[in-house]
Amino acid sequence: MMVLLEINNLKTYFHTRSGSVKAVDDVSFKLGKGEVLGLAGESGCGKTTTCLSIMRMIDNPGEILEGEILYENAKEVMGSSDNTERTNNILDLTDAEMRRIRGNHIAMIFQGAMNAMNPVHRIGDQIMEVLKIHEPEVPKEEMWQRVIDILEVVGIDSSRARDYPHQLSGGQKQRALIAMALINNPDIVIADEPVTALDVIVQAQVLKATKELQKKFNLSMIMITHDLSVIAEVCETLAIMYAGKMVEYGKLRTVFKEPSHPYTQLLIEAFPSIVGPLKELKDIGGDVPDLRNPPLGCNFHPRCPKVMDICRTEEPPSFATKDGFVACWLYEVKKEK
Amino acid sequence: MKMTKSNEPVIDAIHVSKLFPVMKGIIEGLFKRSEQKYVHAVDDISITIQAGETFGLVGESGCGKSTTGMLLLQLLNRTSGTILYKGMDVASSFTWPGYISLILNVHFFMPIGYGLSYIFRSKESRDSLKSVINKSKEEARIYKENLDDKEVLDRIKNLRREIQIIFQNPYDSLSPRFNVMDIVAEPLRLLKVYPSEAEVEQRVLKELDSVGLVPPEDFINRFPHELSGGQRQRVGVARAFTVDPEFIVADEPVSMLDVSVRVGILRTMNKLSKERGTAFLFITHDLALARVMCNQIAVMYLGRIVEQGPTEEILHNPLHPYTKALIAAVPKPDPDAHRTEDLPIVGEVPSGIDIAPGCRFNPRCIYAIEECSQIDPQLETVKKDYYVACIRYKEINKIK
Repeated sequence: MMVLLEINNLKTYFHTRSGSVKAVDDVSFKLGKGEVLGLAGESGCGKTTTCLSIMRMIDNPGEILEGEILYENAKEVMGSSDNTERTNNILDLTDAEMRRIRGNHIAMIFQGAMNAMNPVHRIGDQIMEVLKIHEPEVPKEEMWQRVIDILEVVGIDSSRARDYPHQLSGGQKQRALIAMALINNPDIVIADEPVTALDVIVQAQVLKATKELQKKFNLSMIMITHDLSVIAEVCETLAIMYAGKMVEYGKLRTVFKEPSHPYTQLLIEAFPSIVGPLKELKDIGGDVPDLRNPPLGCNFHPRCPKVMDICRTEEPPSFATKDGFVACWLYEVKKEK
Repeated sequence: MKMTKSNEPVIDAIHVSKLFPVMKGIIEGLFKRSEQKYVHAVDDISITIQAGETFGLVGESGCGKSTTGMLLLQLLNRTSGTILYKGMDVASSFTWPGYISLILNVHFFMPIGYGLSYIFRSKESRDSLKSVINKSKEEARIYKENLDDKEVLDRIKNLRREIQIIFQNPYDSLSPRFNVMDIVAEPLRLLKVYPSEAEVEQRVLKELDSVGLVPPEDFINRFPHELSGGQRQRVGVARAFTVDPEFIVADEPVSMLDVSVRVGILRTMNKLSKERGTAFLFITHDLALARVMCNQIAVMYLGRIVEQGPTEEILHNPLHPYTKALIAAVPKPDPDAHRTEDLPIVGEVPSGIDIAPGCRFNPRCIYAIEECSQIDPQLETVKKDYYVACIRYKEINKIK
């Protein structure tokens, strides 16, 4: 699989008066062409910040301190003069170049379909705005036709293009947002909690539409969600984040069926299901650490049932698993023996 | 109703409805003559909850589950039906502000409207307005009588102690200016449960301890912003349990919380309700949570209960077409359970104002036949404690 996006040692901190919040701390992963990656974790673990960093939408007091975000097609947006010496790193692009990436190459579906749209503009016009910015030379009639086409693709009747957001139901609004993200044929779509605010039946319909569209356009997707069952429905790869770190990464089945990291194991056990036998649910004791001064060593050690001495002092590096990696000292011990 | 004292249900709601009138604008009200429309938020539902039982109410947003909770709490006055609390009818709450607004309406706003109707309206509409005013005057008189009746007021005040609520959002339902001690002690102080402040404090400490905020001494001086989401909701649980209620409505108590802390809160609530024999109404949109918490659930659709019965049976073998769709739509946390087939439902939830004639689910139902748009199905007994409202449930599920 061709690697489309590669993130290496990304660090995004937010500088506050009481110290820097290490929202994303040394995160690395890859996204292949046509791959759907699920990014899961509790609130405040850095999932959204990771993706906003990819879009370079981190604003003051936030700062991308270190790392590189390599995007395969980054050269397409650069001016023709000095292409040879420059890398594919998104973080090195000028603001003007980055604007050409956003929406055109990497698009984002924002959280909260209910509030993500401008209430005083028709949805067709809002979708067309994306086209106007990235392809101003296209005649208006053709743009409108493309808006109508994309609305039909996501499953909204073309007659609704002249409706205002409040005239659409929650599911339709979410579909319109997906249309907005897809209209420029991006390579990568980042979806931030795309179905969280929807009812289960609508949620299932939108998820199904998303899955079909992803196959149709062979999109690469990053799906951010706290709901592991949503990830189980649509994703191929799964990354689990905890307190700014990526603790486990691997194929969906592997992470779900044979989770390596103690946090992943507990998270999956805490998830109630309506299928299968009624199991005794367990909760993870304790609370998420304060990211201004995270605990020494592994971030999870104060809550970890399998904590060892080394966890308290040294930060675990990534150890390879069957088809991914896990950041936990348990797996080093196994290798030595 | 003949029942022995011991197995008398804590809450018994019989054919309860709540209609919200749809407001018209002033201009529309003056010039257009149209029938008054209503949102059928809760339409003819009956619920019985025994002491120590946890009853689950599930459904999509807008199906009336929260309104039902509000009605049982007497926070909303019902339009029709009876709600018996421990066998006693508690009609509605009577307050002075409520009386004043009623009086203002009858003696001020309504006469103005009546006067204006001389200019804009015909004689018939004026007469109908007159009868509405007379009816409202009669209502105001009854309201005043109840308000003067000390016994009624005492009963209602007592009710406020015995019925409690746990709110959905622990970030908004705790006052940011109160510390934990004041938040949990407030109902005790307001209802004057204990004569001395020392006893109140002791009770608060005990309650914090039992919801898992240990050691409680560390928490009493903290403010809500110093607590995590899970801890806040534990404070909310402690506040509800502190006055020894007989009945608690928990309206989506964990939907704002992370998965890793949800289970702990649910278990705490379960433990406390079992220990103290509190009846629980658990309102949730999440069937998986209802499965963890409740023995009995009722599935609501557009203000009606469509299926009611033991949780495990409904989840494994739903009888009503809507329940079937709802269960099929729930994503499963299992990569092998990939869903391929289409959901057995069409369209989207219609508005609660103009409800389709017949079965209100028939426009979306894949099994709907001609009769479904004519007959409004009532809950039928399938077996003991299992009810379904569908005229074709036997056919669909091949039950003899």
